Amino acid sequence: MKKAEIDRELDEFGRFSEPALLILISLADGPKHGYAMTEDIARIADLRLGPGTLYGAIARLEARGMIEPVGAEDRRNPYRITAFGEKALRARLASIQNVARIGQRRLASA
Amino acid sequence: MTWLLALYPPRWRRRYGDELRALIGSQPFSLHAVIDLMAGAIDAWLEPQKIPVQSASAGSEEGVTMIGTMMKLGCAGSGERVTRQDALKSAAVNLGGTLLLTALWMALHIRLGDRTYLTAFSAMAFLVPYLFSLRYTSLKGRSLRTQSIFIGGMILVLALILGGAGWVASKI
Repeated sequence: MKKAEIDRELDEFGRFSEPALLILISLADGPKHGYAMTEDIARIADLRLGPGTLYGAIARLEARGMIEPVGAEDRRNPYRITAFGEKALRARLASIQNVARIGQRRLASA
Repeated sequence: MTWLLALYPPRWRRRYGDELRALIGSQPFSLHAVIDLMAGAIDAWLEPQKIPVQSASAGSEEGVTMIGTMMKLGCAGSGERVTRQDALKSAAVNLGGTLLLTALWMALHIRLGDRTYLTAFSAMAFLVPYLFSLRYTSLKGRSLRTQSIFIGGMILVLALILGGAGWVASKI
């Protein structure tokens, strides 16, 4: 998918679920299992996801090919971000960055 | 808390049950986690996912647009931040609802006198507002359908328990 196409589509995009976004950010620096994700997200976003919320988001992300299991060493199955998930994350972060930049510019000129 | 996994759909449990059990086992018991798991189970039944049996193939974008994929993630469950305004709304629902239902209960008590079932259901005066106040805290971000099923279901369960307690008390 071309960047311009993604940008155009993101203009129309409403809400990207915060848990899903945070999971993708957490996995951006390497595979993690559920507990490690919860701790990492609590540290980076000051938000502790409940177990039901975390796995609800994991199930959806995995079903859409944005994350995948690494292969279980034990019961705690680690996940990693896929190329498609990384692309989606980059697009979303660029969109957030753009909005933040506009907001800061407007505040500065107010 | 692992018994709550029994509330999830069988296919979901087969795929994620062990992982979720390990995660729950590593966390201390909390009411928030219990409510989150129950609401998560309702979501899993209402919004069944295509549960991958094997590893999902990375980057399968065919026929899937970025916006479509992202929009579908909108129902990925709660995780919303509870703001000060939410906390105030929750407290208002709790306090207002309790005062209202207590006044109603007292009015019924005056009108009907000392009835066993009426006494048994007195606890509903603060439990029902508490359940509704969860919309602004633990259930925030969940769909209205999930919130309705959770709150309605819990009220029904409480009514059965308190009704049962009233029945036992009436037999003593």
